[in-house]
Amino acid sequence: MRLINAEFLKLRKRRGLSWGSLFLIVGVPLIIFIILEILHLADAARHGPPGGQGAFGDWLEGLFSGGVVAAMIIGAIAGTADVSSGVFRDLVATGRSRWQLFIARVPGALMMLLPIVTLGFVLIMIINLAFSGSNPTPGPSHMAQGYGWLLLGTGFALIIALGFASLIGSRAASIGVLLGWQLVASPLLLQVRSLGPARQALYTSALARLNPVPTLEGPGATTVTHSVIVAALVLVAWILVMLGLGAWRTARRDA
Amino acid sequence: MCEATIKNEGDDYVIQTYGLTKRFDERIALNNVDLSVPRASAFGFVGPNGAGKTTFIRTLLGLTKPSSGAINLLGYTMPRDHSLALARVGGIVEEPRFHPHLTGRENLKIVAAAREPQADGRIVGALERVGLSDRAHDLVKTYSTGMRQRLGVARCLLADPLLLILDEPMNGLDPGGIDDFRLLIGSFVAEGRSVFLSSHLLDEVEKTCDHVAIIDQGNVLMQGLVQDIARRDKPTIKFRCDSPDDAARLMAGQPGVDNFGRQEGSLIVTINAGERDEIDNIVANLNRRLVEAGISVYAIETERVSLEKRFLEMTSRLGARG
Repeated sequence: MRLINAEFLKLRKRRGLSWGSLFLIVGVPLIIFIILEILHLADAARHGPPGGQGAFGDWLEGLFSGGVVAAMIIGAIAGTADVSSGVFRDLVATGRSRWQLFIARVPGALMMLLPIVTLGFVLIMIINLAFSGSNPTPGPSHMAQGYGWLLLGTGFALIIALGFASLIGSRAASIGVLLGWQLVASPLLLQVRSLGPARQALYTSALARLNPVPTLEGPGATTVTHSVIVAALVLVAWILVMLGLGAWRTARRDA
Repeated sequence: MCEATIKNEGDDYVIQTYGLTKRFDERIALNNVDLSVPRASAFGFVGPNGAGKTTFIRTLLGLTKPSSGAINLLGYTMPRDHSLALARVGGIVEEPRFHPHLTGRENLKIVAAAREPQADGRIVGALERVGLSDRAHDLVKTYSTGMRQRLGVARCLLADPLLLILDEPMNGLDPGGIDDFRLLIGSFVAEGRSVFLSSHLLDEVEKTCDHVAIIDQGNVLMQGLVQDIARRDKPTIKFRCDSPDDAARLMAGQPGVDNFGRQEGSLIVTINAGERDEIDNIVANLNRRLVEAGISVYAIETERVSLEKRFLEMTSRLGARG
């Protein structure tokens, strides 16, 4: 637990990271809400209320997108902080196993991310419940499932980013590759029909399949994965591979 | 790696290496290094840049794997027992590095978390010991080089170390800082801790350490007591006295005297002996003869070549051979 707290300390003391994550997860939805609410107040006939059950899925996906970006940045920094600062060799020189040093990064980074994600979720819940106008509001089951999916997706993104960054060792390169994959390569591959069922190996498809709340584009609009079991297995495989690679590199690298 | 050949002689030595070799592709950074560092000593590891000092320290601390050979640290076999061995070792490799966005105290907390639970309780004492209590809550990025060196030592103290391994600890320090550091190292040795420090500042090693090893091109050329390494083959004793001419006449035919002469109000005598006890006896006898002859002896000094001169002789000899 002391190692995990130490990892959390390293991350939470980075002001840029804390404020940046807060902006991506809480600030962006807040700004969008303010704009939508102003539009609604200005012309209620053309612009409906920002909240309500119908909008919940979109708010959730928006929060998910910002959360995944923040998670990848946090994960990449957690995976490279010791090596890039040069402190890794001092930690190794304590005699503590490298495997323990590596694995402590995961809960330490999650302690940084998940409270901010929860804050973002509280924000969109307030929007969806208090600014729904005459629209129905999302039920407790939807809310609980949506929150679970959000934690799963952002936590997953953090873990694979941490594993990948620990493998690469360079923070900037890791963030560049991960965001490029997440925002450009993965959505493009998902659209390449000739890849057929192989696209199910993309975690973006698996995560979309597990999204419990349908968006305005309809349920499962962004996924090629039909089976929940396949989606779960894909996520587990990604986690095992990326954490395995990160742990292997951490154990093998010259400190 | 022939771990089976290691004998547990940890009671006498805190570091022992046997045939330690480290290769980087074709380049040999450490070549069959056999080194023994006595307990409760300040051991200087000197050599020019690129001699293999840092590679040796990195290998000792398990930061890189040796190509062959064996290491015994505090009586434990490395790397097999690295957790046990390193638990009571504090090390600084190259310049001490920290998380710059954290305070000095927070940086110690990070490393304490990787050590035994008692390490947390040593943070305050370690900061006090190195004189950083006042700046403990400042961000490390505001620290000077000297303060970072001291914080590095504080980090070592979290282990309550039996052995401190310091790589070029006096680099970048001003004369006052070097003096403070020398006192700090002396106080560690006085407490029974052992200090192994690498340096290319030969004068500082001579002043700080009692034992020394000279390394060049990955080879340990010599190791032993500083005074033995720095001494000439035949020791030269300087008697400062009131009548050097009379003293010189008395030296003729004295047992153990190889050569003698006068030098600025002193008598210089070369002793024909190698062992310390033998030398001491001869010097005592000579002193007795001088005093009995009514000559006032003000001081007796052993003339030494500096470690630096010895180092240059040895390293240039190797260069000529290569």
